[in-house]
Amino acid sequence: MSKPLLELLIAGIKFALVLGFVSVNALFLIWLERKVSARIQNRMGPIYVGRPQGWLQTAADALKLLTKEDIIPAGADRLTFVVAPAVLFTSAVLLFVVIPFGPGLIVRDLKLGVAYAAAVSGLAVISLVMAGWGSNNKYSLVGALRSASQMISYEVSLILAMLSVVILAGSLSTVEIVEAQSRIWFIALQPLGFLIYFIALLAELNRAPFDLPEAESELVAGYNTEYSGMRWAIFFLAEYANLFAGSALAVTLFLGGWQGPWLPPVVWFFLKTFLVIVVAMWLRWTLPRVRPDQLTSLGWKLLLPAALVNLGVTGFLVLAG
Amino acid sequence: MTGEIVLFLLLAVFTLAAAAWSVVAPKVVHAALGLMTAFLGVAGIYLVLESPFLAVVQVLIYIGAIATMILFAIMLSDLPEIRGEAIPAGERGTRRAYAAVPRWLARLIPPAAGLAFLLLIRWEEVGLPALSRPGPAGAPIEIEDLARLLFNQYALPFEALSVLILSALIGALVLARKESE
Amino acid sequence: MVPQSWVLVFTAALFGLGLWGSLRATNAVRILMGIELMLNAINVNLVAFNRYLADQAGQGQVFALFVMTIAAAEAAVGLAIFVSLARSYKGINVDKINILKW
Repeated sequence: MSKPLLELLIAGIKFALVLGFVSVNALFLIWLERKVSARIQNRMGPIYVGRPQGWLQTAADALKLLTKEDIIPAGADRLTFVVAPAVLFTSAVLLFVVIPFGPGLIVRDLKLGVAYAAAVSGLAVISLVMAGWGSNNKYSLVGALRSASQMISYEVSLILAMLSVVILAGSLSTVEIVEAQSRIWFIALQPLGFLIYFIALLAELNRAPFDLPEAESELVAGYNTEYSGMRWAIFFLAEYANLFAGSALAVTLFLGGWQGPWLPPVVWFFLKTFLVIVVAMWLRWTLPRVRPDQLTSLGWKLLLPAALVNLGVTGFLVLAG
Repeated sequence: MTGEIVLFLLLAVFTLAAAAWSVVAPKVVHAALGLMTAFLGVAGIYLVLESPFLAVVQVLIYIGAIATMILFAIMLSDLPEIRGEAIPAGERGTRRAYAAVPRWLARLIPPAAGLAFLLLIRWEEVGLPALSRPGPAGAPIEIEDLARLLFNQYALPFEALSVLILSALIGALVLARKESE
Repeated sequence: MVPQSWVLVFTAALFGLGLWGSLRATNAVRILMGIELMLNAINVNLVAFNRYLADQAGQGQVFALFVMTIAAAEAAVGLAIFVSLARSYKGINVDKINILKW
């Protein structure tokens, strides 16, 4: 076999691994979310399928969704309606390219890793807008508009918070950023940066208290109101893949990535990532939803100036020594 | 070396097709999505031309900001001419061709995305140009070189641009706000 | 290496499509989209010339970055104008917006 073909084969194996990981991990996260929400609301959550803790509930749900009828509403714009879930899933999978799970355990250590992650995660909003517009439903459209305005308000602060870490590490590569944290985690040097990143991340992921695009008490289900069956399942899967990728990036940028004593690096990475995810779930099930005007004014009037000041101070301190 | 040329041709055809579709699509939203696809193709062309930083910025600015803004503005001003100029009833062929597009696109996206993923992982190894090439001085053009250029030789234009962006921001706010209060 | 003439043919075609799109449309948003296509073609051209015959590394890329920034500013202002036009005229057909003629 010639060399390019062999290399493509290796790449294909990595691709299959990532795809499998994303799907299984998303099923697990959905189960976790249901369990966490149940505990917070003093319920049991799923317990029957896969006793005693309902381990197989989400797998059963996924199978059920795959066998459902594939419905495209009569008034829908077929093109955008059909393509939207594929776009969201693609952007979620592409994010996994630069996540370092452990030393050497990365799909590809891009030199522009952090910039690449910022660019790829920006694709998600296009998919939500496509879904909302394509459904030809006023609730979907309002959800899509909300997600676009939300993303414009928070993307800037998110990237500025990432950049202050990049200044500290002196590199855009995710692996080098993790290695730069061998002495001290960047959360200790950048507490404000981490806070900004985490809040902006919750807004980017459309999770409560910022889940306005799918606010079920006002908009039925927002942009995915008209979706059902397999397409809806893809949306759901991509949402949790994005949650994992965002939390993994938070760990990489601020919490020292795979670094930690005694345990193997991969275990540390997953421990920290799931800690961030559980905190995000905890917030979702305890905080009430904010209003749209509160959301935009928080983004523009508080987070953006704070992120700018943080970036300026970081740059000054790094230059000063 | 040939891999590079094949990839360039594929990307060029893809970009031009998307651009042409964005010009002729009856619905404005479809035109905007075609434009976005063309931007994506241009980002791929930047990769072939050994400018990865520009490819990333292209996706970040053109798709993440400009295309989103265009879609947002289109949906915000919900006018009949934006909802779509209806295809004349006589042109059944056009209509059928237009209805076939989503089916083909939905089928093409997964393999195309998979291919993009594969190339990202093993870009240089399959014979594509290195993602940073030696400049005239011999050292590869890295993002550091761009930064040095931006903040030394072109510091003044850079600052002027930031003023321009700020004035555009304020101008857009003033223009788009309602005059009721 | 891709021959430079191929890149130039590609950018010329892209520029032509953008020009056609912006001349053909009466809808203001479509005109803006045509302009964005033309700017993209110019950017690719700058990068290509930088790659094939630059005397200084990275200059063309820096110029392309400037063009992108200006394109973003232009899109923001242009779209703000369209939104306010759509509000006051109930339409963004540029043939009907002729109030400055009088």
